[in-house]
Amino acid sequence: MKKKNPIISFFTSREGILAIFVVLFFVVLTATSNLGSDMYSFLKDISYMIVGGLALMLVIMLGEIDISSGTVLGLIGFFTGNLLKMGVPIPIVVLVAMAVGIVNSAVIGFINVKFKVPSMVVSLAMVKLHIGIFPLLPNAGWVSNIPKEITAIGNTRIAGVVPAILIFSLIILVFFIWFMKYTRFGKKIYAVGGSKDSAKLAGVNTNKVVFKTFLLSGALLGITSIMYWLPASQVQPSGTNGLEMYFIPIAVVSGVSILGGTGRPIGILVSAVLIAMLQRACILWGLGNSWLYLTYGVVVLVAVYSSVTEFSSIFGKKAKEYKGGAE
Amino acid sequence: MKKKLHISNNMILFVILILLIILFGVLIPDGIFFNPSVLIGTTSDIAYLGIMALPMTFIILTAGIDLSVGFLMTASAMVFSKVFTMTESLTVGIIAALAAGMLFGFLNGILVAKTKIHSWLVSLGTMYIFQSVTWFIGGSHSYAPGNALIDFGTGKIAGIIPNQLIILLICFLIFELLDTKSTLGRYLHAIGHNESAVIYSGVNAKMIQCLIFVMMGVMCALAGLMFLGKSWEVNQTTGLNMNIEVITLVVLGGTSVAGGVGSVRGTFIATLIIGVLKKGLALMGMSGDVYNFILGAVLIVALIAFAYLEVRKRLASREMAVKNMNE
Amino acid sequence: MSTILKLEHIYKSFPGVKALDDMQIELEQGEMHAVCGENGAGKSTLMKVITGVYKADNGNMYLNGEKITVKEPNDAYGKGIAIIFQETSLFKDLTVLENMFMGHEPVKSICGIKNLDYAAMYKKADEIFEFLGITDISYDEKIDNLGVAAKQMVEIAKALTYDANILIFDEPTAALTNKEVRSLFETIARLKKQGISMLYISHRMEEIFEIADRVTVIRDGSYVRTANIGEVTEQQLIAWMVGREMGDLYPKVEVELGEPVLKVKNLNKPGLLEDISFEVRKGEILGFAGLAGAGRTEIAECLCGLMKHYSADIEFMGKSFKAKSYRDAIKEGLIYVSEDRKKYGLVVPMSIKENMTMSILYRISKGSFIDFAEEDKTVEKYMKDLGVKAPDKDFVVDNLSGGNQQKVLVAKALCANPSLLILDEPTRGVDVGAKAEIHRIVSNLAKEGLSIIMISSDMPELLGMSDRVVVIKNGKKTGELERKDFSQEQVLEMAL
Repeated sequence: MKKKNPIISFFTSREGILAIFVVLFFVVLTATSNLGSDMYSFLKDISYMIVGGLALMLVIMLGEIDISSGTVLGLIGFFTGNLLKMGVPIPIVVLVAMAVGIVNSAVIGFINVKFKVPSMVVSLAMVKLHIGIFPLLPNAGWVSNIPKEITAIGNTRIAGVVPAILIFSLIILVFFIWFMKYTRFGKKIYAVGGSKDSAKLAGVNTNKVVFKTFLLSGALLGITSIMYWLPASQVQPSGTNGLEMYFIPIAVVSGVSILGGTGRPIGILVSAVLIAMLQRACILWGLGNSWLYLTYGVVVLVAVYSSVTEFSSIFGKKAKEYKGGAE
Repeated sequence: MKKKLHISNNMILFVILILLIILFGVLIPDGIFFNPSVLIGTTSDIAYLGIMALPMTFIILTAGIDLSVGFLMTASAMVFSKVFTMTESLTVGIIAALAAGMLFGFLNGILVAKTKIHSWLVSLGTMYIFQSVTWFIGGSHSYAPGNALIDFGTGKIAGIIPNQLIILLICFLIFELLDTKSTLGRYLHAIGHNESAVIYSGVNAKMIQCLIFVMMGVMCALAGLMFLGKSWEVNQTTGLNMNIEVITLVVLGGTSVAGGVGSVRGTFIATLIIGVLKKGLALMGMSGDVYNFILGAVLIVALIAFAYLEVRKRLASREMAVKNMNE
Repeated sequence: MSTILKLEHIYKSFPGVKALDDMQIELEQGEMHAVCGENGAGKSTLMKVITGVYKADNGNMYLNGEKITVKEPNDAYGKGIAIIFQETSLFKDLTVLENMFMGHEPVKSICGIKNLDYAAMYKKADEIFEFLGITDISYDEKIDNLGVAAKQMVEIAKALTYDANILIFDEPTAALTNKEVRSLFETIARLKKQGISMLYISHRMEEIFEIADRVTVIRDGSYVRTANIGEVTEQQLIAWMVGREMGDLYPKVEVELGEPVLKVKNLNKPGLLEDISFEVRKGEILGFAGLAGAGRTEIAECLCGLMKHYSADIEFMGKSFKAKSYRDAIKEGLIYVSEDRKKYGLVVPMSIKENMTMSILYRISKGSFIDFAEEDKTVEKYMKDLGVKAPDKDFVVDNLSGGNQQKVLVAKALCANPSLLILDEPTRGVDVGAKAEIHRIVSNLAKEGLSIIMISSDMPELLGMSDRVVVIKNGKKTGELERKDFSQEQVLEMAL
């Protein structure tokens, strides 16, 4: 029985190579801009990106997607903001946030599993529902005047620069590292993502796994929403529209194969830092939105291309013989 | 049997259309809705969406999808603006816009045809890239009346039939012919059902897939010009979530996201329905958010309904096969 | 010896095909029981019914005399029945250890939370690996990085993690080298010594005679008979599998052969084909014999331009020829009819008409628009010529029987006016009556001067229909026989 050295295998893995790149990028960025003075808000962004990235990692590992993961955060924020204003204790608000997230993802998961409609299209429809639901709700619009004490809790700092919510998001990350390695359900997610047919042969109820994974992802989106809005003094629901633009790249860059079946939570940490840095770089270097969007577009395409193509085949030798284009 | 079902799908849609017109006619005071110019306006107002939905039908028929359409449209419209401002020639501007649309579409097409990445991911990546193009060109582009494009875009033939509607009708007829009478239409349906079998019939399926994305690009550019002619303005947020509206038209028209099943005719009727819906809601004083919500709901209901019908149809055909065998 | 597993009156249908028809089988404690039959006889379907992958339409199953029902794979595992699949069912991105215990990992509670017990997994895996004598596979290796034989060992190890006492092997040696086969047989001998009962599916005679105790023969989804291995001969087994004497089903018409239509010299494709040369004459039916995966299909795909990156000197219809794409080949009159009807042959949700003209649309269209009158004429002609039984030409192919689907596929090829037709397993998944009809069609085509290459694993069919047979083994041509020299034994010897 042979075991590999964990340190060596980390630094030769995709995550390890990314991590080295991230560190170098960080050094260059701090040297050429005033990122250091803005470290707190940078870390705050990373906090919610990690959790949102995890939420997307879970569904993408199954070969599914949730494009409404940005707009749903605004909807959840609208509910939680109002509850906080009414003086509801934070733990209960967190539970409500998770519940709303779960309900949203349950709809996508249910339609996907029951009617075999691709989650991509269902979640697109959800985007419109999230945007359009506000006129039907009481007190629609911005939630402002959230009590200062609550905003202060959201902005709790440790050692001056480390946001408390980063600690929470790292705890969640550690939980998922454990979850994916030490529970049967974690293994089932890998199995169903790898091959639904094989998973069925191994006695896995694939529909149940897909549905439950969507629920899990919904709960994580609830937490993401809390992390995004709690430090803010007001909730502007449309503010989170488009955040899926961070989460999807975070997931695919981390090594989650869009064909399903691969991906490790530790990779999410590395790629969340990377994506957050790309965003900061575009601002701090004065490149603006044009370069930001271009970067994300290219990052998504390159990350996805590298996950569906054998690494060796990028350099000439094709891994799989072309057979009339058919698999 | 399949043919019968097609007709009945479109007939159901047609009945829904009539019912909607009657509903709004009654609900909106003074019978404003039955006014011919209002009724005709329902379609011409969203003619630019209908124009994009036609090639989108082709793409979804092949089991693909294009998420980048909204920003592709905006980017091409901005190219027009930029070139038009520089050269002050309408012709040069239009040619530049169509060429840009073709180029953008080709980028999508070549990535879909040459890599193993599914088109929804390709177009998600290129969506950001086209979005970045809108930022590179920059700013908001608006025109006052008196400009030839605006005059044409808001003009009417014989004072009653809007030019926008005429363009939509011409495009619809072309695509309808392609769908039902051409080899391309036949191949598109076949690719959606079974790409391998098409390749093994000596057809270059990859080239066809590339071709329809190029068509999509050109039509988006045309839609961009129509949008500009109607709304007098484009800016960076114009294309946001427009892809969902276009996809809704196609899915509501009975085209299956699983590929193979669907028709351009259905998409056209769906365009009429959504046009009536949008105008009717606006005349009743509802905000755009309500329209968004209803659009999302329509998309979800259509997805479920057609998926359900598809399952029923498959079961029926399976029974028939068993019967056929036992005879 | 007592009966451990017994199945009787098993029926299973798929749309258009009766896969199992009153099937039965009896497995005794500790025996090695071979199941043999031709391709498509229903062996794999039977095994999938036993392991709960498919649900039988009807029938009874007894384990140790007790009636049981197996609804899903988990039920079978729970009862100690495990299968080593033909196409490997492992997860390629997961490690060996994760694969072995997928779905039934041992757990232990820590503070009330169930944790996967890796220590227990390693311990059990150690035991199993030691028992199987595996030393060269690391638990943490990804399946993707393993070879075929190693993957199969992992499959066996995985089956043993279920504490299975009935193991089913589905053509385990199909993709193994001789050395690997030897080591597999050693493993099987060990398993047998432990009292594990095994079902072994194969159509390789010498393997069956080497390792099996008893053999059950099935044909066309029905049970034929069971015998002790010592009491039968190879010829008898083949006769049972085939169920008919050679020649009575095959209306081979003697045809005066013409000039060579196709000459292939030194066809090479790295890793797949090596130095293959042959020629086909006008009106000739050239048979390609060999095992599945020997490279017969690949030869056809190279000729048609469906596969790229090969080298060869090809002369077709008197001139040098190399297809850049399949469309080129079709234009020249070289047509390939795929073995996988539903995947590469037909678009089953579409109509007969649409399928038949799929490869010749470019020819029956004006500009880019289809000439519907011309299309109808073509389709009606071939439907009548080949006797496709369907209400009309707009009937959906999916609802046709297997035999009629195959006729549509042949008609699709004939529409293109071929000079050379390559038929890959033309009667797979087709019932006996339709088989004879397809044979008659093929014979008539040859009589009309069409050259045909017929790839088939159905030995009597191949020998009954062909003028000449080329035998392919591991991508090499190992022999060529004239009709007068045909014998099953000789072909098998060259192919195995």
